This record gives sequence, C-alpha cells and structure tokens, in this order.
Amino acid sequence: MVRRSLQKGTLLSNHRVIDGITFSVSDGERVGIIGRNGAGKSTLLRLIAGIYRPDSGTISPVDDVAVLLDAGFGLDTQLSGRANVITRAKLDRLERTEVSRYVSWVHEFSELEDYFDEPVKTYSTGMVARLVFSLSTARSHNVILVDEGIGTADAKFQVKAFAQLNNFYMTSSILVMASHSESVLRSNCTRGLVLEKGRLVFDGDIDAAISAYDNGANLY
Amino acid sequence: MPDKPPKPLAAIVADRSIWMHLGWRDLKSRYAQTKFGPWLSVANLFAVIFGSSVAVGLISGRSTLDQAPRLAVCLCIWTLIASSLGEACDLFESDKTLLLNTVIHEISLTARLIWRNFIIGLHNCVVVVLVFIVSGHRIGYGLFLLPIVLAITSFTLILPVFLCAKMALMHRALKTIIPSIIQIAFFMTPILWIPPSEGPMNWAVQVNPAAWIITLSFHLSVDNYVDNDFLIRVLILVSVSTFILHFIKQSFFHVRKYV
Repeated sequence: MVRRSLQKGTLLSNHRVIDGITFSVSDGERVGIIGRNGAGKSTLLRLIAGIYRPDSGTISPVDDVAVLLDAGFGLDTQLSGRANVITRAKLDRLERTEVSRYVSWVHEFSELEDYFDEPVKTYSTGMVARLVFSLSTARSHNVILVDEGIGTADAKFQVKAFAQLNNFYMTSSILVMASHSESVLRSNCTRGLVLEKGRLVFDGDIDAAISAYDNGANLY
Repeated sequence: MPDKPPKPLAAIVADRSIWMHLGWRDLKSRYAQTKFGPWLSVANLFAVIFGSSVAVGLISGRSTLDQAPRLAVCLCIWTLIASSLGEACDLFESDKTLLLNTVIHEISLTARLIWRNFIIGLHNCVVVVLVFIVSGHRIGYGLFLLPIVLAITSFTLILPVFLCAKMALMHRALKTIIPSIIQIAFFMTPILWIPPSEGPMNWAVQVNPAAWIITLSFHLSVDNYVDNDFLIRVLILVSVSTFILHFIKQSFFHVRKYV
C-alpha cells in the first residue's frame, strides 16, 4: 500500500496558490480533483509530481509517476515524430532496449506510417494529436497524474484510443485526475477532492464531491 | 519523485544523457532550418575572423595574416562564452514546458545550453586549424589542447549562465541589459588587442576571468607555451565553481515558481 500525505502552502507572487492541504492516497484509489480555474488543481498535481517544491509541508515520495499535464510538451516541430519520441524516452530515462520498443510501439499505435520520419511541422492537427496520445499512453505507470484528461484525436482513431486510455488508467496503482468534466470524473474516479482558492473544502465520494462543487459552480 | 533534490553537480552527472541528448537535438533542429546546416556557423566564424584580422591589421599596421591565428583562437573561446551567456537570458522561458512537466533539475537545462555551444565550439576548432593553415602559422601541440580549454571554459560557465538565466527570468528587463554588458565585455577582453604589461587595460585583464581563459588559450595555441600565472587562475576558477556548485543552498536553484 502506498500512502501519501500532502500538506503545504506555496506562495507565488504574493498569492497563496495552495494553502494547508493535507490528504493521503492509497493503492487502488482513483482520485478526481475538482475546482474552478485558479483553484490550484494544476499546482497541486505539480507538487505531487515533485515539479514544484512546497514552501512548507511534506510530500511522501513515490516512484514511477506519469505526469500528463501538457501532453505535447517538448515537441520540436522541426524534428521528426521518431526523433521526438526518442527525446520523450530520454526524458523518461528509459534504457536503450526499452527505447527501441517504445519507439516501435508509438509508431505502430499512432498509425503515422511514413510520416513518423517526417518533421512534425508537416503533420495535420489530427496527426499531432495521435502522436501525442500515443506518447502519453505508451507505458504503464504506478501513479498517473492527469490534468484535464488526454485528447484522443480524430474520430476514426478514437475507438482504439478509448480502449488504450482505459487500459492505461486501469494498469496504474493510483490515478489522480484534475478535470472540469463531470462525465470524465464519474467514469474514472471513485473519490473527489474539491479545491477552492487553494484550500481543500471537500474530500469524499466522487458523486458527493461533484454535488458539493455544483453548489458553487457548474461542470460541463 | 526523488526524496530530496540532488545537488547540482550530482544532477549534472545523473541527467547527463538527457542534457546531452537535448543539446544535440537543439543543434539538429537549428541545422534543419537552413540548407547549409553546420557549415553556416563555420563559414560565419571564418568570415568574422578574417574581417577582424583585416580591421586589426589596418589599425595596428601589422599584416592581416599575422593577426588571424590569435584572433581565431580568441574568437573561438569568446563565441562559447558570449553565446552561452546571451542565450541564458531566454533559457528558462524557452524551456518552460520542460520545467513545468518534468522534474529535470534546472542546472541540467543550463548544462544543455552550454553543451550545445561547446559542440559549436568544437566545430569552430576546425575553423581555427584552417586559419592556421591558411595563414601559414606553425601548428604546435598547444592547438590540439584547445578542445580541453573549451571543456574547462564550459564548466566554469555553469554558474554564470545559471545566474544570468535566473536573473533574466526574475527581472525581465535584464534580457536587454545582459547582451549589452556582453558587448562591452568584448572590448574589455584581450581579443582585438594584445594585453599591455601595465596600465588600465592590464588591470582589465587581471580582473576579467574571460581574459584569463582567452590569454591562456592563445599563449597555448599560438605561442605553444603554458602561461603558469593564467593557468593557476583558471584552475582556481574551476575550484571555486566546483565549491560553489556543491555547497550553495539547494533552494537557490529552484526557478520553477518564477516561470
């Protein structure tokens, strides 16, 4: 069982983004983080991931975290899809043998075929979305942190993309997802945390959390 | 997420495959944007060396080809220093997505920037050798130590580049001021002029770490002798950089909250 306890405040330009939040997440939990824009959802995810350091408080470290905040980060459009996948593999600190498997998998799943070796700047929007989706879901992780879900590209790709996405989430030990979408939260999460101005105002069942949030704002 | 962030030197070693890959990728991306690839920067340096040699030759009344070898060595080193410090102003802004989506240490991104300029410096060493050949200057053992001098220079640049990058991120006005300071520093460094034995320009050499490295380089490469005075200063510079990088408080390197 993995326990995480998180308590911190963080100050950014005289504005307290996260203020005294404490919670723990156990193995098998699927946690949805709900809140208005600017409530601190993305900041909280970055604190959990270790991208930000808290000004005070402690975060229990955990291994093998997938951070999906901006799925297309680090894409260099001057370089090919293959080169970009290799870069992402390096950033994930994959061994050499794993890199070639990772690249092959992304190539096959994205269905980019010959375009895989062309500069990303020549791709259509849908092709970029396929590449990004494939990059994001290629490997299973112990803990997955997601901000606003992962786009699944064009309609033709969506069928297998949804299956892959479900498999990606299901193979993780812990899922923490920030979203404004009621349907996404209900289908993926069992527990909800509601943030308001950097504070944790509700922690409980996902349906109750959505209702608690709805009292103050609307989900789409 | 690691339990504690590693110290900068440890992070540079641990992340070496990442920053080396990213730096090389940056160059591939840059070269992909032009038909001439790496030859553009090589040709550019060649032109700058000969243009400067003509100018210095006319001003000093000496032969252009006599100036070229010294200028080539000095400009090779100066290009590494100036490019690294100049690009530092945009380092963390341009790497914003990496900073906000990965746990890569900020000092590793600094190493990436210096690494790509070091690779360009290695290209430029080829230009230096060509200049020596064209000018008919004797090629001694010292010239082949130029890549080592570039490597030492790269290491000593880690802290100043990080400082420039952090200051430019926190105070955006510095993005326009730092390049101007670099331009002034160019004239205060013995590149276009030979350091005198006394006077205010001699003082400028004594207090300018870039001048120590450049003076050591051209004595080594052009005159084939090791100037012990400047060698000791450079070694002290390396030691001080190592000490500061190892012992400085870790929070000094946290810049993500400013991005």
